Amino acid sequence: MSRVVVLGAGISGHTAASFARKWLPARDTVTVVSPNAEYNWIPSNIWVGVGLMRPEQVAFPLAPVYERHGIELVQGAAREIHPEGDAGDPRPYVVVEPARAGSAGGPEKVHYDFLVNATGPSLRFDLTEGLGPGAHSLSVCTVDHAVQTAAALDEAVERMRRGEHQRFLVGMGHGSCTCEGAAFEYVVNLEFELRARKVRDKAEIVWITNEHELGDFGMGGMHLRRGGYVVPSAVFTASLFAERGIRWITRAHVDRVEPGLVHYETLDGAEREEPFDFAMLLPPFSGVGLQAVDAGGGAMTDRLFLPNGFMRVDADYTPKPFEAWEVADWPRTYQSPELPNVFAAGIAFAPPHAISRPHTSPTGTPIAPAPPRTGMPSAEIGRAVARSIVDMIGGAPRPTATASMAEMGAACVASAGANPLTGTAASMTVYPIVPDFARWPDYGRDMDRTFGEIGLAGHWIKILLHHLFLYKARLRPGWSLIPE
Amino acid sequence: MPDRHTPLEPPGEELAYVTRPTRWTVFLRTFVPWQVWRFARINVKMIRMVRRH
Repeated sequence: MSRVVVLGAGISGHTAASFARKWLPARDTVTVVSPNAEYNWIPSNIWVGVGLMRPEQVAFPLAPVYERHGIELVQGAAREIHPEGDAGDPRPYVVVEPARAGSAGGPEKVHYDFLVNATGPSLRFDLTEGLGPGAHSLSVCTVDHAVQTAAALDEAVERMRRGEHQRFLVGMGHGSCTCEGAAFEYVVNLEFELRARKVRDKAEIVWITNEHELGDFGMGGMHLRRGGYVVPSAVFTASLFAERGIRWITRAHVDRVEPGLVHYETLDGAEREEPFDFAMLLPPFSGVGLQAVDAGGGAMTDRLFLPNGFMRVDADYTPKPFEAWEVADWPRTYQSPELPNVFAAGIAFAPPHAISRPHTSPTGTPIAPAPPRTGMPSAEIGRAVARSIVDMIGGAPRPTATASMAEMGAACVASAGANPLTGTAASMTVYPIVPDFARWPDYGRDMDRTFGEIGLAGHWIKILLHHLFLYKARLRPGWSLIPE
Repeated sequence: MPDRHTPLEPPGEELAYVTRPTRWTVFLRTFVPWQVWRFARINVKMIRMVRRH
């Protein structure tokens, strides 16, 4: 009998646990450790944040789903990994603290034979002074944040209906943020919603980003065939913003947020300010701070994790200049090089390098997006990790499945207005996510499989995917046939 | 003293250098018969891409 423990019940962890349970015989157990009682389809938080969806439409309780499918749920947050067990018991385990302070019982030991770290990111609002829902800006990273943002939007709309002008600032709250696509989706939905509520003329909307060019999205942008030309995504994004009257600030590192005022540094080293009435700014991410402890009680965190808290996997982390990075540096199996029975999936794995070219201001501030690894890649990695673990339990000497972001495409549908007849969305596919200039010297990507267009059809696809992925996450009949 | 608002893009006349869609393109974006076709086409492209990897 083997015990598989998955830390985290986000897109990657939930996918890994679901497939491990499906593929493993009943004698083996699958346990999910999560501080959250609910699964949240995070991409649809955007619609909660503009008031078009209720929280229960994007989240559901995990316990009944896991109970139905024979997956054990431990409600708590993993704090320590003890891969060598301890002096009295060599079995590896994780230390889990109860999810709620004051819960009965203290930290619990959860033993494992195979461990998947899918803990996702820690939302580091603290890295920018005054950033975040607890301070002076808003977010859509969680359902609660999105609900709060929707309420703030309602208040702003009320003020505009009374004749006041409002200044909306949307984008990235730090120079090292990732997930630019999510904030982009929010700003265009916000603009659409303000038009729908007939107050657009009272609103100024400003996009602030750490991207060097618009449309970079942390993956060095993309190129699309259009009208006899191969056009960079910066052109499309600028067009989309200009068409909607959204102004933009690029190459910016937000370093402080005060009530109604953002302070930021630009790549040329200048310190600037931007006033706002409503600011939705995403935070930078780090790992969740898991500690690793050896059998003698000594720290071994540095062997398993990078300083940013993300887990080392089978990637090449050797520092080298941007031009020297190769697709082969990217991980394929997500197995820890130190511990063959430990894997990291989704945001929890440490990328070997940025995909977008790094830039630093004259004052030494890095201002460039971190690589995105949310959504589709997260789920693909979760599934591959589950396959490898199941095969290794069955006797395979090493991981059998791969999911390199340098060999994987991604489909992305960014809603730009939610209405079944007048809404639009930008539908994009990119292959591969990490550009491979050895195979495709011009643009790093297969131009036959990289495309993008804006239209109502994209909105229909977005709605379809929302329902399809929630159906899949609820593990309803046929769930495993739906692609990641 | 920090600059205020100065780096906002596009600052006025530079809007002239941003690619804008034609009226026909904007019309097609929400023209249902055309979008039904695009819905099918985009789905096929995405499924082919997903299957390939």
